[in-house]
Amino acid sequence: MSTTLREPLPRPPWVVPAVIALTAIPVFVAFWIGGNPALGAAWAAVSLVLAGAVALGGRSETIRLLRGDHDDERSVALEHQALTITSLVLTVALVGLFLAAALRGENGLVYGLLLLLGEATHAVALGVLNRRG
Amino acid sequence: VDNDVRELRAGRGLSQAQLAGAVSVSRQTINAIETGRYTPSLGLAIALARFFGRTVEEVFHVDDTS
Repeated sequence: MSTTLREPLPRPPWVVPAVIALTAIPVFVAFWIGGNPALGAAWAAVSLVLAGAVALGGRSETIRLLRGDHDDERSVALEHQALTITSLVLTVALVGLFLAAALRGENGLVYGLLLLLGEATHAVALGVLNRRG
Repeated sequence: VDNDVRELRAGRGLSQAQLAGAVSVSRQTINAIETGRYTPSLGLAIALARFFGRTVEEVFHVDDTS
């Protein structure tokens, strides 16, 4: 029976924690190459702690959803709403950083480009999803 | 959208987990539907109605005044 929201393929519960933990490696290496291994280790530790919390978070439904355990339409809908809120917060933060850079007399190029990327992604996604019905 | 899922489930002596298993969703989803925090998709609404031997309109009620 079809539902409004497509349910993704089942994902083993270790995938999301593993991906979060693996981000610690490039983060540490980048900071190390940049001459700041201590800061890299600190950021890597944050990734590892987050991965551990997601992996060992017990029976909390929120942790289960964080692991990507979307086993029915409501959990998929919750994930979509959470992603919407996340993108809104990130957009507001980027706009704030863009304006702050302008006020400091900087060009704010990185923030501006990220905002343009977000807008372009949003427009393309709407177009594609609209055509797919 | 209001619904009679809790009454129908209780009338059959089922737990939320048992109903959830019957229509292939989580117990939390059944709880959210019963408490009005989640409006199910058409597919799930039909599955619930069929499970109880009712029509969708008999299980889910739209308040036309709102």
